[in-house]
Amino acid sequence: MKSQLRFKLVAFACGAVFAGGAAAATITIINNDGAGEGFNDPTLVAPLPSNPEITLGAQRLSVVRAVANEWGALLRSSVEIKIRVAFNPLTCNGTSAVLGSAGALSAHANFANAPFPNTLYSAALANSLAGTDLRPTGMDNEDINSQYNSSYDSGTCITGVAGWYYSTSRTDATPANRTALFPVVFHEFAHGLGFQTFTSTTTGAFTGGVPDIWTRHLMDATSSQRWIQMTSNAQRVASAISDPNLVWAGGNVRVDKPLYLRSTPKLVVNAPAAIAGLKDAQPASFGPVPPSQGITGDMVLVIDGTAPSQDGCETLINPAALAGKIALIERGFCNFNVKVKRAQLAGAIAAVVYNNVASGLPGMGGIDATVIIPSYGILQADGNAILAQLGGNPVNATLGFDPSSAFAGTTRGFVRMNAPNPIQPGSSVSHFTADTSPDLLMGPAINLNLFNDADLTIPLFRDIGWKVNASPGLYIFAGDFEEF
Amino acid sequence: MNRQIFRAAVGASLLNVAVFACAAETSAKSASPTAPQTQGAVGMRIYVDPGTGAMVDRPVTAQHKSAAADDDAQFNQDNSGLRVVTHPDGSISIALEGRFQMATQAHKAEDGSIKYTCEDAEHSAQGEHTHAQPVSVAPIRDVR
Repeated sequence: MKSQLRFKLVAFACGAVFAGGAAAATITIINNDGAGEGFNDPTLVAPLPSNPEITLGAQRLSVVRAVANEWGALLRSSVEIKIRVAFNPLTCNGTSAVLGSAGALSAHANFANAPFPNTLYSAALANSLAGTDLRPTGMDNEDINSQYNSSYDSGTCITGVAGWYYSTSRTDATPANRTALFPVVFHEFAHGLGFQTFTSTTTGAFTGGVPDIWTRHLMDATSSQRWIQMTSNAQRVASAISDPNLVWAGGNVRVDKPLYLRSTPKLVVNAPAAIAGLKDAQPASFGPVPPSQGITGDMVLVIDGTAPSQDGCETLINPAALAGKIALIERGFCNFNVKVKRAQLAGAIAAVVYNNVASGLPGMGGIDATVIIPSYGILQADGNAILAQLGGNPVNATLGFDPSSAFAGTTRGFVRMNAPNPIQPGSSVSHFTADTSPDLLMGPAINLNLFNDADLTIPLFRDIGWKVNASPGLYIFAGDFEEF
Repeated sequence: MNRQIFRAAVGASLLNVAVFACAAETSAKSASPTAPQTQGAVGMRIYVDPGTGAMVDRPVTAQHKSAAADDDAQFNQDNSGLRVVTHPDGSISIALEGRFQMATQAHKAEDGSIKYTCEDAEHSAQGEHTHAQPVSVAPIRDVR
């Protein structure tokens, strides 16, 4: 195929309009559960702030319908998208549980209006592109299959977890002993809508001998060769474990990444000169990402009055000193979000948690939608260096980014895909890298705080052919498709 | 149409032969008559751990895992053998037979933190296991 690159600047950020496009997609949930179970479970439950239903089944159904409506509002299609959903008793024990799954039920190629010949598209996307339901008689009547773990509500999956939380809004805070279903479904539905490859990552073979749209955008960053151009299955197998060189070459993701990604996070110590410089840091999964210019202030060690008093696990007793400053906190004894929240309540503008072990950064996970200040985790050594200075001149620092670095999670300007060695079937290739900052909806490690943030998934969906409703983006390739 | 599907599969691994039996059908599922291979495809299985003799809910031996995948299309990520249907207009359709399902898992670490990851359903069905070499993944987050 002749190489061709068609740039069409359709609209600038915030407000793209597609002439002649279909309306928001209609996504219909097909309740696949029998009477009295799953979505039809009549067990009475207390209504939630964001979910007024009063039976377990109805609350569950309300969540998946809310997710369907969310995706339906983001995507455009004249063909109804049908998702078959059930609650089933999936694998679980005290330390692990399968929460749920989703995927396309069929794939299609060479249909009318297909952007590329001999290229498989997942059912929902293929129907949308074709403008008609392509599923032939005898094939599954739905586009996507999805299921979620009913056993999770038994309280026997994951010790300490009581079950799902059926909120439909991120403002409805998830209790600490529950897992919000919404963000799990939001992530899984994205797979079913097309965020997946049908190419085997273990053999490199195309399904049915036909490459999929994913293979046209997966690229080895060192050779600039896309998966579809690779002449052997072995090349694709090697590429699938080539982290950090497996990238997404689609134009929309490439162009729109500045809207969603930041440079490598760093704690920038501005003063005193003895310890000034860039310090390795990892942002918390909760709370906001610092603005692009960073957030700057003097650092103050928290004091909670209970030994060890610098861990911030009890109410802080030095709020006057912390107000308007960056709180410095030691890791340990309580959750990260508890520490940061206490700093916030004391008036701090940001928080830095230093590790309590010699190696590594504290990967600050946790869930708390009420945390509104940014926070970073830093090395123990850097924390100790700051502590050593606090008794003298002020330590001034910025929760910022490495100005010389590329966007976190990118290689040569392309967003990386998950390509660990050895292969992690399903996780590899069909997710963005986990190295982005901030976390992305379709990263392999799911950040439930993202809830319904579609972020860079929307540009990727545009790359594979979805028409979308107005969202930030340059829409360089909207309406047409990049060829090579 | 409703269909009762619940399969408890018992692997008789001491004999090095996995025996999977349909033990009970307790979960009512509405089955599409056109999609028998994916309806209610996931069930709770139990296996015999050859090391302890105990019954566990995860496949232990290679035979268990292979049989689990063969028995249940939902756990099968193998893309071989799928039938390509070419229609009169030249278009192509492939029924994926329940394969390529992506699954979210929750894992609780020794420190009490819970991590959420997404992988394929077949991998999830293998339960907790270790890889031959350390898996190179991005930083894992802890809650404390």
